[in-house]
Amino acid sequence: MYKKWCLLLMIPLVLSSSVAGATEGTKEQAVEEIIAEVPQSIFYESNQFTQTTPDQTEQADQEKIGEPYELMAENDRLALYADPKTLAIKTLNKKTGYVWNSGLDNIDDYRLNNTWQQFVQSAVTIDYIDQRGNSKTESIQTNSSQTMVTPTETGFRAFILFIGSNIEMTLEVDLTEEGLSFHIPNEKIDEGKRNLLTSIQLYPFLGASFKTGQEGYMMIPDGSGALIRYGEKSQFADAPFSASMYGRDLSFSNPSGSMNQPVSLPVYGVVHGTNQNGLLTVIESGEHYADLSAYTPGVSTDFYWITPKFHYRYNYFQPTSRDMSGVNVYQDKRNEFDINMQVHVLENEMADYTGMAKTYREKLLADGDLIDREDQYKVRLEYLGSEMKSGLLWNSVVPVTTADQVKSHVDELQASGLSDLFLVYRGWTKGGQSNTLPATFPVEKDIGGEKALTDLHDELKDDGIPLYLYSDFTSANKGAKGYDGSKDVARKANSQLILWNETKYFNEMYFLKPGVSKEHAADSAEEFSKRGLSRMAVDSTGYLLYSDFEKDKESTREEAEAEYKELFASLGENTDAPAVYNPNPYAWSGTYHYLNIPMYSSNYMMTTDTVPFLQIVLKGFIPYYSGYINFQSNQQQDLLRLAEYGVYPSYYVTGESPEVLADTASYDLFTTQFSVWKEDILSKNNRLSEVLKQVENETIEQHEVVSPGVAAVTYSNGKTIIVNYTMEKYEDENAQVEPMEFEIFDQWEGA
Amino acid sequence: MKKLLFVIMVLTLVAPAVETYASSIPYPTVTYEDDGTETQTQTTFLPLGQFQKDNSLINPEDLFIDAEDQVYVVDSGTKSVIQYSPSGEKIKEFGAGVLQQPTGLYVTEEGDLFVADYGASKIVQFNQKNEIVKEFEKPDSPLFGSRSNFKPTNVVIDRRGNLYVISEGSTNGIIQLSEDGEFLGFYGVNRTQNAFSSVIQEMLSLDTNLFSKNPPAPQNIAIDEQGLLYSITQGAEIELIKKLNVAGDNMLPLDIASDISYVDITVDKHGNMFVIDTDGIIHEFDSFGNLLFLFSGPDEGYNQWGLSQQASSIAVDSNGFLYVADRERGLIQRFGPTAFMNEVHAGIALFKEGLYVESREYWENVLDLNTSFGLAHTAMGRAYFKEQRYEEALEQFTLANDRSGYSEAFWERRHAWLQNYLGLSLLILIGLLIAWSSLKYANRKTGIVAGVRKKVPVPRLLKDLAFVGYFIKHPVDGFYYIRKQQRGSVLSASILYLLLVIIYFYSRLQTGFIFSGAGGSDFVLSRELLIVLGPVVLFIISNYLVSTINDGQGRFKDIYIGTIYALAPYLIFMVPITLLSNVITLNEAFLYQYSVVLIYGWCLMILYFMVKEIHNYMISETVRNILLTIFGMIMLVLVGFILYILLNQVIDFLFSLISEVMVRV
Repeated sequence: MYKKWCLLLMIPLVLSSSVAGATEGTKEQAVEEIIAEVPQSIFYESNQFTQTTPDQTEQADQEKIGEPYELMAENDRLALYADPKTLAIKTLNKKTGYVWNSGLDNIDDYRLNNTWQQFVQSAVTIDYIDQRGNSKTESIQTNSSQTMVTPTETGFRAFILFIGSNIEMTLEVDLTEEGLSFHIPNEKIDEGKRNLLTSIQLYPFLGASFKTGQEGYMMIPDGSGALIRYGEKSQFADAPFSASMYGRDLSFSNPSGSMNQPVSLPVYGVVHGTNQNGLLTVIESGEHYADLSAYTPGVSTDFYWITPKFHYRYNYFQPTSRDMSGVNVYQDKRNEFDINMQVHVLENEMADYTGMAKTYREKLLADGDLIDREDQYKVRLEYLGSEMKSGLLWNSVVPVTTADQVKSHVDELQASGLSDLFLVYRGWTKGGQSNTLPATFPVEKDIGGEKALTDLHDELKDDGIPLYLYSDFTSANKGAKGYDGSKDVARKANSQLILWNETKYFNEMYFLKPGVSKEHAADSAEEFSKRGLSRMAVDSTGYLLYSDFEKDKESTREEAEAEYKELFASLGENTDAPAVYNPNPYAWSGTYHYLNIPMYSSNYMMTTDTVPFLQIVLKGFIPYYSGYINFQSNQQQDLLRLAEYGVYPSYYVTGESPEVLADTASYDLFTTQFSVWKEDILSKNNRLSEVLKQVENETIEQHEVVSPGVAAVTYSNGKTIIVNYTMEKYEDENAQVEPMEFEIFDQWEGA
Repeated sequence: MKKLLFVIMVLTLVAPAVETYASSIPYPTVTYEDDGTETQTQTTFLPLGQFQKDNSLINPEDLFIDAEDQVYVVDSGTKSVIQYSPSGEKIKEFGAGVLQQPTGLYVTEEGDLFVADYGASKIVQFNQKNEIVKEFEKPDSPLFGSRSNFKPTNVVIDRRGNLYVISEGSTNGIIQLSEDGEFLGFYGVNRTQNAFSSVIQEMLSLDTNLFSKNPPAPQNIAIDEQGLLYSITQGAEIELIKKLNVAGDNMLPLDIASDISYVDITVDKHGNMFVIDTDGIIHEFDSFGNLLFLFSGPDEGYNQWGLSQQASSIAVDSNGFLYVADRERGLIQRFGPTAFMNEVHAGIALFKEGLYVESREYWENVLDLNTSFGLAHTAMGRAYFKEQRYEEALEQFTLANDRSGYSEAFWERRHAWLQNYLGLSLLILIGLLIAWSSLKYANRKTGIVAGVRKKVPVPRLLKDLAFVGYFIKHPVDGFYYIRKQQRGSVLSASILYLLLVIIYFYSRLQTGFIFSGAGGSDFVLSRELLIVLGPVVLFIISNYLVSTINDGQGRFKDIYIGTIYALAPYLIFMVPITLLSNVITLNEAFLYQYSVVLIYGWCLMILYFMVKEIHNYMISETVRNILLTIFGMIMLVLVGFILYILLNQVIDFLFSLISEVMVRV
């Protein structure tokens, strides 16, 4: 290293003598070349942006539904037909005349082998383990299994006996006003004695599309929402998209190195012709055990298809020695859950991602899972109070932002006209931010102690600025106080503790049983109110969901979900408007502020667009805040994205320079100092507040891309925000937007 | 090693860290902090998906981007060269039906294509009309050697029209051909590796021909705007990346990288190098060979943009966008620089030209975005140095861990100090000298000091401790006294051992910045104790064991006491030398380095006398005893190690037995 630097210094010395007195010209030229006009189009044509809708194709003529399909049920909108042998269904949308087919007509025209043909045409395909431990697959058609169809008032009930595996189950299909409902009740599944059922796939090809079929796309809930448009641009992948709902169950998996975002919404959709026909599937029950898979042409078949796979038994690793060698085994006991999928049939203007999001929103509202909260524009500043540093002989605490510093920052910002603030304070617990969870009080004295913290809270309260204290009821560090390592930690299926391994700066981290988390949250709320504090920002608990396999005290993910729901409900009663980091939908009913909302998707090769699906669902009901802006590398683009998605900005801030955090767990904070970011906070606030304040409490009614790189978002009060990512001025009849800018319009009539 | 660290970085991301990267980027970007440790930073290049608009590529092997940003792709699957417009539209196809297995490509300013056809063992020159202009086959010059193979995989052309050809297994280096195909010679030959491991291997091996002494053959090649050639070599231990001047000498540090298999290299117009390895990890170096950023990587089945399955080539266009070809997937990915990256590049461009002061505003922006970006601190330090703001320069150099820069700035500051205070300090020095000699004189005349000495009785312990000084001049006598138990005691020795530890810690932590290794940041108490006390304890035990069966007369106590007194030079001189290291610069480095060597040498010499005198040995016996002692030390360590492993195995076995029983029953 030393030699390198030496050389580095020698060469410029030699060079500088030769260019001594280099002219200003050289400098300008050198810089100009670098900051040269970079073609922005390359950026907004990537899959991190929404693309324009291609020209629509005419809806293809639909074949008449005939033999072997029989009419099973009918209502004003739809008609349901089924093939009693394979249970394949066809659903006619009477308004558009479009037929949704769970299988394929003229299947021999396609390149599909026998197994695939059986898979496509059958309603149900199962995987099971036979007596010898081999994994096998069976579709209804495979061995011409027996089915017994009983018509019901709104559809049919079918008893299925898989001949090969001797597994029995009952499938119920109902026609509803919205669409279809599929149901496989758990108590009707009988595995027989020999074989173990591992997974079920249900109508996998419903909504599938041939590679050269119509215009349209599949919608996957990756990040903020992503589209896989039909066409050449989505045909590079050689493996399907696959993700577990709510992330993988930590009880079955080792933490993997993947940086992908977990899927937090149990929904997916299909569009056949934008604004023509679409399906939105909501998994109402069984989503805790579902993996969502999306296939594109080139991966197994020539079709686009998307389907969940429900796991009745997971494969997990059972180590048998200390060097972590061992065997893979399947769960002994079957996961007990009902499968319940609601398929919404969409047409016309509802048949696109905006329509899907609106449909999902209506459903959540009707079920009481989404509650209308106060939605006010605010800038979130997340402060790091203190951090632990291990020392020569003993550990010390590095204070980075004291309570007084927070106050003075707020005063500075208020003096400059920014008082719409939302503050989160991290690292306020004794011992600093890291390795102290789940402990709360006492307050670290180096940031001012309890007195200073409560004073800060009260003073800010007078100014109408909420101060949230960072909490986490799920994670617990080795060596920290506040939990019992032998009783409170959840266990994996292989009876190891659920934990993240120790790293250089972090102690081992354990995950608490949901019941313990709940008690812990209640205790915390009490401790808070005793001290006159009232606001919590809750990390981990809102998005981590795992089962517990401690002997005789097992609990499933579903039970965990129920505990967390209660946890958040009681937090909502006992504290002021809790804020939650990336909550999954089951926690939304207790969420008043959504923190760190995803604004991009995971860059899968098969995805072509990123859309604000999650934002359309939430906007107007729960205010949501971005990830930390100061760590972003393309500031201008990120600002435009905030305006497009209606996201309130967030910063991760410290009073001191983050250099003092070297050799602590927060060593990777590379730029957080308030004095560096103050101007940026103010200027971004100026731009965003004038626009986003006009759509507070309003819902997004339409999101569209009017021309490449120009997005228009229309709200329920009729106002439209137009965001221009291009380097050219955008102009239409009643709107003009400068390059790389955004504007709000009262009346915009479309491009 | 660096790659290993990178992989670890990626894995540790699972740990509960704050989200400092955009979640849409499937890889972290890693940079070097001031102290040389790796850390995450802002994303420098965003993955932007596929560049070309069609799907006609099968196995892209090499990319070339011309001045108009048109992209040429050599495809060994389609056996042709395909030309794309800057927006990714296919324009033309070259050489279809002619080429057999093309793997490398260069396009001249006139638009002539030189294609290295590995399958046909020749280089084919096409013009823009897809006509063959010329073919370059194996040179017939005797200098080339009739037995040498000509299997071209890559080619570049310099301004004079000379061809530089990478040929498979060409251990003689890059083949240089003239415009007419005449063999001009080999260029930039790699060095034979004389790594420690291979020397050992050769010593132990019976078949001396087992390990060939041929230098590794270069793997790939690039040329920059100034005509400098860059080559990369796989499987070498040093000089993995070379930047060759006209004479064929490497201008980059030898140890620029290690243990990495690079696949391709490209250079942007400011001399920044982008090198991609077999895992698809892209390394960006500045023109001096400092590693700036690491990003991208292998795709482990998630099918995300920004990762590669089998990266085969990398190229950069005039806007600074990167293009990476994936042989397995048959596509070209594009990466776009972020605003942060542009600031860094602007700073580097000015810094490289020596415009330190002008570059400062860019570095200040960079530091706002990343407080601990090492190169930025170095550059800022240079800028302050040029503006003669030495205090600030020193601060920046300290942050950047830049020893030579620090040394220069410190020299300037010391110079200024000396000019101010030299006279005064000389006066004080002379005054002290006069006082000292007058005291001595007075003492000789009247015996004041001696009188005082006599009156105050000195306790034995203090005398024993002070006895250390005696060893500097009279080691042999010293040990005699110790053996006769006239001087030194277990207590005094123990105190001195404690002193040894303290002095070691002091020198470890207080050595001046210019001479300290990693400073105090990697100070682990237990490890440091082991370093200082481990050898001493081993020596004492081993020496005692060896001497008891070797007619040594020394008792354990004598060896215990003797050993620490033998380290007298260290105890006495280490503190002043550590102090000295704080006021000298690299110019006077020899002062520090020689003194340290001297101290250690001196200690060893006294140790020799110690063994001889304590055990009352002859010279030959002493030497034998010392050799046996060293052997004994090694054996002790070995036995300890084996015991540790065996014990571990037993525990492991018991553990697996119990846990397996628990699972199965």
